[in-house]
Amino acid sequence: MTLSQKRVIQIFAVLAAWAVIVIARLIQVQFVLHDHYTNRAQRQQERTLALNPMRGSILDSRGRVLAESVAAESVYADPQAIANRKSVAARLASVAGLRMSAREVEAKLRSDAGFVWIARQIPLAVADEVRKLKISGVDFIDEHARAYPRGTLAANVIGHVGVDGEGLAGVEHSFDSYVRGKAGKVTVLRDARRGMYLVGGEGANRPVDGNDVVLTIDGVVQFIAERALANVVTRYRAVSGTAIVMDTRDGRILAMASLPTFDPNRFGDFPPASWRNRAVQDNYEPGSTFKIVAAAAGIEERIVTPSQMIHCGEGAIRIANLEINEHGGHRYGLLSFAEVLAKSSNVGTVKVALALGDRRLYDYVRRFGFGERTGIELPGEANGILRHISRWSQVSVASISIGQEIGATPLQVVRAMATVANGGMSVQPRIIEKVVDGEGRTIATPKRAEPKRVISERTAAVLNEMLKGVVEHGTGMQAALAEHVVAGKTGTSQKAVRGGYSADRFIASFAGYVPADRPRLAILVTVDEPKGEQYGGVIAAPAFREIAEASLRYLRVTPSIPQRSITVAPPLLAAFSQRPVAAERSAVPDLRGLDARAAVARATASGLTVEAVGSGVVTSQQPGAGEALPAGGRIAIILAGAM
Amino acid sequence: MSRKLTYDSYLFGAAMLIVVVGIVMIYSASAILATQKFGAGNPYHFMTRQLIWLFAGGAAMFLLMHLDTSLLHDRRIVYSALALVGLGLVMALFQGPVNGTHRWIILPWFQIQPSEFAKPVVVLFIASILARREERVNELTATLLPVGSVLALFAGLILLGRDFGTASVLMVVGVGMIFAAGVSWRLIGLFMIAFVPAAIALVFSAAYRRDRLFSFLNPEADPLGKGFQALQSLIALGTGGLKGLGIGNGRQKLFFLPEPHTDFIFSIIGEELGFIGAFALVGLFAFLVWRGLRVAQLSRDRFAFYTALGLTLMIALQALVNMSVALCLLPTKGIGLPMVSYGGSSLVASLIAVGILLNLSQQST
Repeated sequence: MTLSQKRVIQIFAVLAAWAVIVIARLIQVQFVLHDHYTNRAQRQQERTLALNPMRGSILDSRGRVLAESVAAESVYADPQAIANRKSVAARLASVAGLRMSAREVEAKLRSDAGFVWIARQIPLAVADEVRKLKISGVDFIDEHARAYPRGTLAANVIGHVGVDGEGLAGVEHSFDSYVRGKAGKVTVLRDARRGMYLVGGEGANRPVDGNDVVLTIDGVVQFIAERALANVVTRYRAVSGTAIVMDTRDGRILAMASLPTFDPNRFGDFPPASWRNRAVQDNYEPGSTFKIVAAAAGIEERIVTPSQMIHCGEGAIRIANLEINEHGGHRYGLLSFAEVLAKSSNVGTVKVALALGDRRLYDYVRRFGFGERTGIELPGEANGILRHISRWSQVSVASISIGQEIGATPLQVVRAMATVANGGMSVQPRIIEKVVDGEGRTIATPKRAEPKRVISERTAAVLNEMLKGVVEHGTGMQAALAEHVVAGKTGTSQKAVRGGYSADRFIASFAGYVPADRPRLAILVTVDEPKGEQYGGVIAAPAFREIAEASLRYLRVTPSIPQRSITVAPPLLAAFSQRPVAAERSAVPDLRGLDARAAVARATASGLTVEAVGSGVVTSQQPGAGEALPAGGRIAIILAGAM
Repeated sequence: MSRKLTYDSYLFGAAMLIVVVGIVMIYSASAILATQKFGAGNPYHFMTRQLIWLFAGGAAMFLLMHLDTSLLHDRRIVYSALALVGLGLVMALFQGPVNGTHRWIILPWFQIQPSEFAKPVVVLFIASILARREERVNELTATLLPVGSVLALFAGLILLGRDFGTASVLMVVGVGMIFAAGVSWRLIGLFMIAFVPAAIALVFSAAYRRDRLFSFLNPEADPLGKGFQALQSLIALGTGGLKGLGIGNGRQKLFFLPEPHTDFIFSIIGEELGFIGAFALVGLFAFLVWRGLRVAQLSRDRFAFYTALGLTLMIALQALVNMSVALCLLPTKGIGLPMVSYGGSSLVASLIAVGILLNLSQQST
């Protein structure tokens, strides 16, 4: 072999050694470090996007939509892809629908992140306006926004939803797991220029839409209760108030109103206190409405009969160092027990309670369901405040018998009243009818306790007569209806303040049921700190009457008192369905200029059915704006052109 | 020479396989880039151009295969080619910079990279000198000076165009040929003493070369800056694993890896075809190099020996440097993978080299 040939072999050896190094390195990178680099690759190439499911609707018992999810868009930006942040901010702020100032937008754009939200869940029309600006670095994501088409109606029951779709209060919160649905996930490939490049097909989990929750609430009864409550709270400039309408037969809550209230569509504009559902979350001292417990116990335990005479003395009774007075300084002298309840005599009730003793009163209070949650399907229900008998003082039995020294939720009080109406059977209040899936199949019905006997049927019947007397000739006369006999009890409780009871702050209430002899509805109205008046019989009883009368007519309950003339029901439904567009009473709304979605929503809110032709925005409508049209009437709209 | 022998069909087959891999991978790596640059209807932009160059290069290869070998030997032809390439290199220096370098002569429809053609031409020149003065290889004036000064001239011109990689390859090829000519170890030692410090000085004289060197040492230290290319290349290769993501399924070409169809095509091959594909390609090159060196070893005349050695060395070095860069074993060089990377001049020059090798293979036994 020549020197040259030897040298060629040496060169070949060097090249071969180099090739071996390359292959060794290839093995290291492709096998040993495979996971490391795969991980790195995924970090830079993939992005997992959550696909929001469509949240289920909340419906009233007749299928009216109280809460629904509507398509909306969110606008986001990649600040790193925006060179001139100031001008982009100014252009974005020029879209009025975003309701943001240039300064606010610019602050968001100053982020170091590759992603910032500009606006969440804005109407599609506003998003389109932003889209038309064609700003690079600004993009859109389809989302859903929660809409409450009837505004404040039943807002405190329904609750509201946060911007990320989580139920924050009310049924939205307690039934969140049903209405929420399951989020989907999709892995999106990204390129280095931040463009979304490819949606991974097999790796995508489709979102599962939420189920619909059907409430026992009847939108119309709710509307009636809210209207009556609003009237009384406004009239007496009260701090707050509640009204509950419950079906006595099965505990279904037909209405639950709470004031102050809020519009869940824009809950952020209202103070958090207005989000509370006071009917289940707040305790109050029920006052005289609570006397039905002592009365029921006295009759059941054969301590007293309605006709038995009780000496109510000089308007006061002293137990230990506590003096209990009659309301308004009355001196009743000798009263039958029926009269004690009708006139709401404190002294007479206390005497019965003293005869019952601590143990028996405590037992009855417990049996009526006080001091524990009713178990209604709403979040944050209060227990009520009932001190254990072992911690009662000498005067507790007296105080509790007249509804002091005890805290109850309005719901507990209305249930106690329904127990009397039911012939002594206590039913569990409920507000969820069922949960249905997208096809309307029932997938869950809340479990409920069996009705439980609290007092005998006979005792209930006796008490029924006494409660009718309260309305016939006692403190509750203003609750009387022309068409139905009402049974009920007034309540006027002084508010507890530090070290005693306030002389000028009261809670006026009326609890009752109707028709007294074939009960359908138990109703409670409480008014917190009314001004000018204090008595439940004056303040709350008329509101009770208003709710009872309108509800029974709406529910077509045959009048139990023979009527000489037929009363024509006021156009209640029309008033109900027009509520969200308060300004345009029975007139046809002006739909011109709206897009199809908005027009249908607007017309539906006015109780009208829509026939639409074309696409784009509404250019004409028949009948025209302002013309009168009965509820359920048809309105034809013609849409044309782009926006 | 009228003997009619067949050319080395193994060498031809290996080269053609490599070319096919190149065309397919260029399409895979550049389709999205092409649609981005030239519109959605143009995913074939880079592949089409490469195919056109392939026809030109293929024609040159066939011409050289069947050319009378004595013509290659002809000093007038070799010197003319050398002068032409030298002129091209000077012309390129006066062209506007592309990516900060002066490597191209820009013509209306295409660009030519004269440095690519300089490599085979300088190989022919050195081969012709060494073939004639082999026994005087250790004499400074007879061989080392003329060979050294031509090498230095051309490498210098290429370096002026800021193409350090090609200049180095050219130098190493020349040195390899002189080494094969039997230069004494004493001279090799002296050369090393002179050259190594010079090379080091050269590396540190330009900021961009220094930056590349440091980024290569630790690409993850500055993943978004100087280490970006190297790291993205490793991510591509590492993701591939054994079998790769499948042809066309690579993701690093989505603008993560710069120049996915040129300097870093090996990374895309590793990503999409996995270790199997990358290893096979290394094997193809190794086979090609072996066949090339076999041509040299079996050649009957010295010119053929030196030419075959030089051209094979040229292909082998470029392939190894390119792969080493992709694997982060060497700093970024700007050297394509011969016959695979996108680039007309490189493809044509490589095919010219293969054509000459095939021609020379006919006279080997």
